[in-house]
Amino acid sequence: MVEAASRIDLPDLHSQPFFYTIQLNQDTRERQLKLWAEILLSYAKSQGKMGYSVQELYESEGVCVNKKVNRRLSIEAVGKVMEYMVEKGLADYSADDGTKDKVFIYAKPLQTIATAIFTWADRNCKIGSVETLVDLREDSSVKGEIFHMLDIKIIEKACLALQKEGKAEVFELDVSGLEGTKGVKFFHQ
Amino acid sequence: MRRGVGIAGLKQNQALQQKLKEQGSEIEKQQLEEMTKQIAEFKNHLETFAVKHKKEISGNPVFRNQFLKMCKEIGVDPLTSNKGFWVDVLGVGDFYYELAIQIVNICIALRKKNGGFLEESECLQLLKKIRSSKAQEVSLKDLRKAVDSLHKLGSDFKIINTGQKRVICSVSVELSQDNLIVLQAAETNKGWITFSKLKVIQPQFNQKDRFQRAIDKLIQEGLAWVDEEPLADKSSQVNVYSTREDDGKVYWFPSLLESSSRESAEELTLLDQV
Repeated sequence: MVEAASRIDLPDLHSQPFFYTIQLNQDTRERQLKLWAEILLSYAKSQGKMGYSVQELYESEGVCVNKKVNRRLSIEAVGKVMEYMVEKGLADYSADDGTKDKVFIYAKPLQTIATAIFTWADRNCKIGSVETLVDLREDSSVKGEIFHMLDIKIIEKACLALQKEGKAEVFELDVSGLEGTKGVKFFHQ
Repeated sequence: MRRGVGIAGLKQNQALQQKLKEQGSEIEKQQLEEMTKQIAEFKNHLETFAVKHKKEISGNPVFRNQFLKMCKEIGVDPLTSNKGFWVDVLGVGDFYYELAIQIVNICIALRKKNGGFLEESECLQLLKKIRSSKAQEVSLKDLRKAVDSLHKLGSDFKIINTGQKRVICSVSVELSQDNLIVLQAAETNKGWITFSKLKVIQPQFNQKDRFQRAIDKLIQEGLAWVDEEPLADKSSQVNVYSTREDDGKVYWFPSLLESSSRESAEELTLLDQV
């Protein structure tokens, strides 16, 4: 495991043993979960990726494991932090089977990604035409964009967010050879 | 030809004199009015100036002295935050009010973090941080006086003793003797306590449910955190432990810990923006 703690900003409480037990008092717990959410966001940023398994987070040394004080977040506790983050829109469960074992931690807010996609589409005259989601993340023209090589599911979520705003529509492609892949069409507002 | 030697001339002269006098007093009156207006305006400006430069006035003694001198000559009551002789004697004055408000702000900003309990000296440190460097120096005595004046207002603010430390309490909790005993014991034990530890410190405290009741109350008030010691391997470098009797639970009191006040300072920066 990569030692990541040196690169992320940790609150003072991170070095307190009791920070690793999810608290019963509601106010205290809220405050605690918020701090943990910030820690994991900062960790995701430092790692440069958004997809994690709960197990992976559980084993993250210097983040959820603190050898200095001989404490760690239990796997259930990591689950609770995830629940909190999903509830606050800071993360999403990403497993296909609907379990809560895998998550996306939005190191960048989903809305920011969505906006970046739309701006890219606008600038590259893609409005009105259909793009596959695969192209959106892999095409050479998206190199350097924040959504380049992002997980395809995050791309889809971002496009769905645009759909909600009426800026795009996500649908399954009906072209032979591309069955089952998804595409997106962008609209002028 | 000479004129004005006769009676008619004298009268005429007299009338002229009279008129001149009238004119004179008229001018005088106008000047006086103008003067009063100017002074009023000056007073006004002085007061605005005082409000605007309050910091310098209460911070820089030379500046303050000159300002007060100017005020005295013109007869203005300076609205400076001065802790003078009378303030000390009467225990009132803007200085302490200002201080009290700052203390309230600090306590409320940190309430979530420490459950409304803030160590006196930590509060003083934070107080020094949020007061401008030019403001009057604050001592622990000033702080106590300010908190005391708050308490007199019937508020929940008071200073309580937990062993050697004095803690500013800003919540309306009625802590029982048992609660305080647990707090005091935790303080002498580096901020944490277990039932078995407490028994050693306070031998008369030997019923588990009595301890549990006291702790539950403190948890409920947000003062205590539970530590169930996850990752309980034997390689611990921290000398914190529970025994079987404690069900593996250690209780911590963040407000009693030696804190590096970085986080507190961060939360206080929010205060400045309010």
